[in-house]
Amino acid sequence: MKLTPTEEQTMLADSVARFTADRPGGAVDAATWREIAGLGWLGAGVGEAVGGFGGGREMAIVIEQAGASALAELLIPNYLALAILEEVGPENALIPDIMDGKTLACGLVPEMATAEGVTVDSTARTVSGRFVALQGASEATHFVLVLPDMALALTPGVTGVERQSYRGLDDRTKTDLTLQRVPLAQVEILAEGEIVRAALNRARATRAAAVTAECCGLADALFNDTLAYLKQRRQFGQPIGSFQAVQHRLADMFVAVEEIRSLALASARAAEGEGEDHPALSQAIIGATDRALHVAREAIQLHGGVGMTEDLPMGAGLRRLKLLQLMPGGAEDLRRRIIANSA
Amino acid sequence: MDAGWSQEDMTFREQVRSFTRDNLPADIRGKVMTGRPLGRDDHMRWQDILAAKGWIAGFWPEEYGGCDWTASQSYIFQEETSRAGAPWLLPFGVNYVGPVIYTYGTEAQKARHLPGIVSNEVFWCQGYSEPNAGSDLARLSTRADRDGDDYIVNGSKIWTSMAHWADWIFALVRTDSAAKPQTGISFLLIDLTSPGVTVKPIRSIEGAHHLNQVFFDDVRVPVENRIGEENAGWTYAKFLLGHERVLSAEIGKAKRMLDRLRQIAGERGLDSDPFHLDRLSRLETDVLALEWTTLRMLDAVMGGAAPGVEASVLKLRGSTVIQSIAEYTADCLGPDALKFDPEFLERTVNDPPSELARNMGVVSEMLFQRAPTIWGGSNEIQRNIIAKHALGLG
Repeated sequence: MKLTPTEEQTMLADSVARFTADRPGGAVDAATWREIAGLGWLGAGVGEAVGGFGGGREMAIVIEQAGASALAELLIPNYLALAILEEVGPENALIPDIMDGKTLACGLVPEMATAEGVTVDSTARTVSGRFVALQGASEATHFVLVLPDMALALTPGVTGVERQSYRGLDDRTKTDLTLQRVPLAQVEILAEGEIVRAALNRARATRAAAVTAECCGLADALFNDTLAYLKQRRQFGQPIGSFQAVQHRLADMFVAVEEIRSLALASARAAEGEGEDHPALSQAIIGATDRALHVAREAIQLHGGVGMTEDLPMGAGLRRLKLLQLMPGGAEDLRRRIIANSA
Repeated sequence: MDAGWSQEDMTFREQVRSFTRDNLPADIRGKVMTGRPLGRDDHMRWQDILAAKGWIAGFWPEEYGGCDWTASQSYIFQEETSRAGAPWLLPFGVNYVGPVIYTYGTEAQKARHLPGIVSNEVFWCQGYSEPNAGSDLARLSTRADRDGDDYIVNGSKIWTSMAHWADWIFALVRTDSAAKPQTGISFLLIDLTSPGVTVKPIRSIEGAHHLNQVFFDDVRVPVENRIGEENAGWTYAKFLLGHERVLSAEIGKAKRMLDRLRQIAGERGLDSDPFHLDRLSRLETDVLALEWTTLRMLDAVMGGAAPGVEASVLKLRGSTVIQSIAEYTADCLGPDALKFDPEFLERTVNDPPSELARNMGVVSEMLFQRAPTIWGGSNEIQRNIIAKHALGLG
């Protein structure tokens, strides 16, 4: 077993944590993105052969440390696109462009689409599907989609591609992407047939690693804020953290964060190398999201009135986690799929 | 299951039901049913209708403008109006300060303040919590120093719901800082137009503005606006909190929210989904248990038992059950819960109902419903009360 982080991984975590601590909240502008690319973080999810420096583990470290900021949600679609490209087109010119921060990409897997799914009409040679509440998709110039037997890249200008952006539950821009009988002749087919299966597995594991890492970063931040507040906030002549009933709640939150960390690590391991499609990946997403939501609800309750204000990060954390829970491919959707499949 | 309502109660229920059906404005009902935000005007229009009927303060004694409703009539009124989609009857005047005034106030205070509540002309808000006095309310530090026939008030109150709409605030203030915390507090009625009062908005997590912080900077308040004895305010404050907590089990609202949950689930074809049916059934069971706990406690109160720990039980469960329904309703929306824009909700507040606004209303309510487990004496405080006073622990 090699589950403890290496020295390099610890250094990476520290450096991302320092960077995000200096830029709390706030949208990520172009200059910040270039800086991140310059630091090499976009290469955290892919191997040296394509110019990266890591795999699932390094990617998860970056996302976890950025998890309480707006940065995580912009990194994730790019990591997903890179993971697919590494599997099906290691020579593709998009890889260096994404890693250099010149191109914004958005990776897609079928479970991010609505219940109707993504369909390829092999006679008409078209692809259709609808993806909702995508992150980092409003400015993306390339969408990289992996299906069970086809991987393709398309640009927003193509016939039948429509995207619509709006304010999301997490108070950030979200985008619906509709592919309506998009002619395959107008998209770049990256790979077809049996070999795509591995890329789909890799992409699914990468997505699970990314979602669980973000849950981990968010829950950890909310827990630490709550712990610090309960040590400092005084009522009845003592810190409220000195009351045993409150201590037990914090202890349970701590245990929840530890379990999220474990589920995130399990997912990150699955995303390394070949990747694997396994029911445990869905369970990891469900388990991490449920636990993070518990932490967020408790963080609001234990802060009392101030926990209900927009000025503190608790509400934003809950809203972000509800979005992760309710999006297609999120915990709620996966839970229903598991039950439907076993019925 | 029948609680054995009297013939009078059943007749009264029919009256409230038909009155609400005939008189509740459709646009207000539409906003309530879809969880969209209500403006001051929405609350006031409905309350004016109730005032004209004489039902604003039904449980008050007739001599003060009420109808001498029994506890069961008050319950029926709340259940029927909320279930039909009426706005929450704002409790600050009717349920909180009104009973304090007619129980502890002078004849002059009754004559001055009660008619404005019964006629729905005066909008009240509640000045209890402070930045450093939340659960430990007795440590409040807003000061009222005597100067001739006035008090001079300095300090601030926080989490003051709807203070930006209010005309008056009733506030707990410290009049003796040497005494033990509970014994140096007085209960003052303060005109919010007085010089030195500033109301600052606080945005809550759903992006809306209900909450405020109210600052008092050398605000002169006539001594005649003090309720009861100087330094005895804690007694009146506790009397009021009892009234606040009994209201927390909003059965009518819970049933209304279950109706909406079933509708949203039905739209999505979930009504035969075993996973959904399990969750729905748990929530229905919670409401059933809450309803019968309320009825049982109501019956005890009607039999003359003093409401004690029951208020804490109802506050604890009432807030939690509604919170759970609100969250699961948003969960049923699934990806349709992901578009959320509080400014859109505010901007379109008077537009005809739309599915988008309804969905955003559901999300807004899910977020807002995190508050009731915190306010009115947090659920942690209610558990302390149960442990100490009902179980004799500590």
